[in-house]
Amino acid sequence: MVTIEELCFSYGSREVLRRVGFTVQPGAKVGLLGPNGAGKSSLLLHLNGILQGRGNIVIDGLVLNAANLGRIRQKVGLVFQDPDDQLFCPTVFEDVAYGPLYAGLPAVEVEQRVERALAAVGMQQARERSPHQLSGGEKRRVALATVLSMQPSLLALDEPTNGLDPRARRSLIELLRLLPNTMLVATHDLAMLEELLPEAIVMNEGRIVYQGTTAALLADKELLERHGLTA
Amino acid sequence: MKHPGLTLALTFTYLIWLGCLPVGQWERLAGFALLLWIGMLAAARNPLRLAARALGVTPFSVAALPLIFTVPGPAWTYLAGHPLSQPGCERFLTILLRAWLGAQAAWLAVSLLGRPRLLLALSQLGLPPLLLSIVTLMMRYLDVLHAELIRMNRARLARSAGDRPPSWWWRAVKIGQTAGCLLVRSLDRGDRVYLAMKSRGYDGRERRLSAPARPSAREWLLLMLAQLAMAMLCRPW
Repeated sequence: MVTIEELCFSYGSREVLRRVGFTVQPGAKVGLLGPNGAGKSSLLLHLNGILQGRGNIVIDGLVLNAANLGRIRQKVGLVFQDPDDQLFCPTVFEDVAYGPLYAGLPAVEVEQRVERALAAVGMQQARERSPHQLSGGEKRRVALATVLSMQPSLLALDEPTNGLDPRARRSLIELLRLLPNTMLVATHDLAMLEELLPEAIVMNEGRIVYQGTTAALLADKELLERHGLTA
Repeated sequence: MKHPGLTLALTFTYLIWLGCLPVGQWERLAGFALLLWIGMLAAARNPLRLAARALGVTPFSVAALPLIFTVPGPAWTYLAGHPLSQPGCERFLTILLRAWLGAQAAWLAVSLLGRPRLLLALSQLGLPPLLLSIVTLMMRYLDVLHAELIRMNRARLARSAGDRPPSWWWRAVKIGQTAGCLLVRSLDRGDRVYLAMKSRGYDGRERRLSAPARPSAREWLLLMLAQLAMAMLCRPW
């Protein structure tokens, strides 16, 4: 379970998160929406302590603080918007092994986790390939595998379908649907929201302006328009 | 030779021995070429193809061209009334051939190892972990930066709609701006990559999955024999 209470954060004098608070139940799949600059990516970066603002974050009973940082980073799999930021090793294998290796796991277990994570995203054949040789859709899958190998309880995904062609997008949505992890997905893709994420949180100017079911959100055209979610 | 570290060590020592070869020793240079081409054939690589590819380095040898005019010695021939000194020509030709053979050796090592094993080879040769991390990230992101540069160039060309070709000064300014823009974007990307590393537990220390395999006795023997052959080719008598 993820609990966030009264989270505030500023870049210099610009406030990007203003008293943000919500709870995500175990196994829930939640969409995080909002116009550009609403604070979605900053919020995701708080979940495993990359950014540290004021307020409380509790992940699976662990309070996010310096003492728990390592364990929290194992629990929260953060997938960045651009897979080229996420895939920084010379081969797919090394990238997927990176998290387990830094968790101090023995070599045999690292190997097993890499195999399982690549199998989960259907990329076993790319094991020895260099990330730059992969297509956009393949990079997204491998980026997901890099965090699945850490066996996180929460997947925090930043615009996972951004820039994908329809087939790659469909295949990624199917893959995400099959994963049992709790998910918090920052997205502008309302079709994916409707299909994959039964719950939604809308942010605007650093505040939460809606929290509830996706069905109710999508039925409220006025709310969607007011917060720049439809044209 | 399968061991990445020894393959790279053999390449480095080949380049060093080649650099030690005295000027104008054409038979010995032919001996170095023969050793290299035997190595290529043993590794199932096409010597003609690698030799042709290595011709790409010849323009860099032009820097040594003034030697044919400046080194004192008897004139070998005359070019537009200017004497071409014989020792100068020998030095220039030796540099050119050394560069060509050296480039072939480097291409052979790259074709045998490939990028990931090249990094492993550097680590086996004792490159400090911090430098290794820098080289690894640099190699990984060269392609990304190259793709970014192509995109920026296309965007610039798409808006270059003048009737006449732009002046060299205009082009120089635009190239400078593109390079500056690329630098800023690279810094930005570097920041994001660091965040991605931190989010997966990076703590500033280099960690590797397994200890590299040790070279076999046969590989050590091959390395030693190659050193002996090259030392004989470079002998001062």
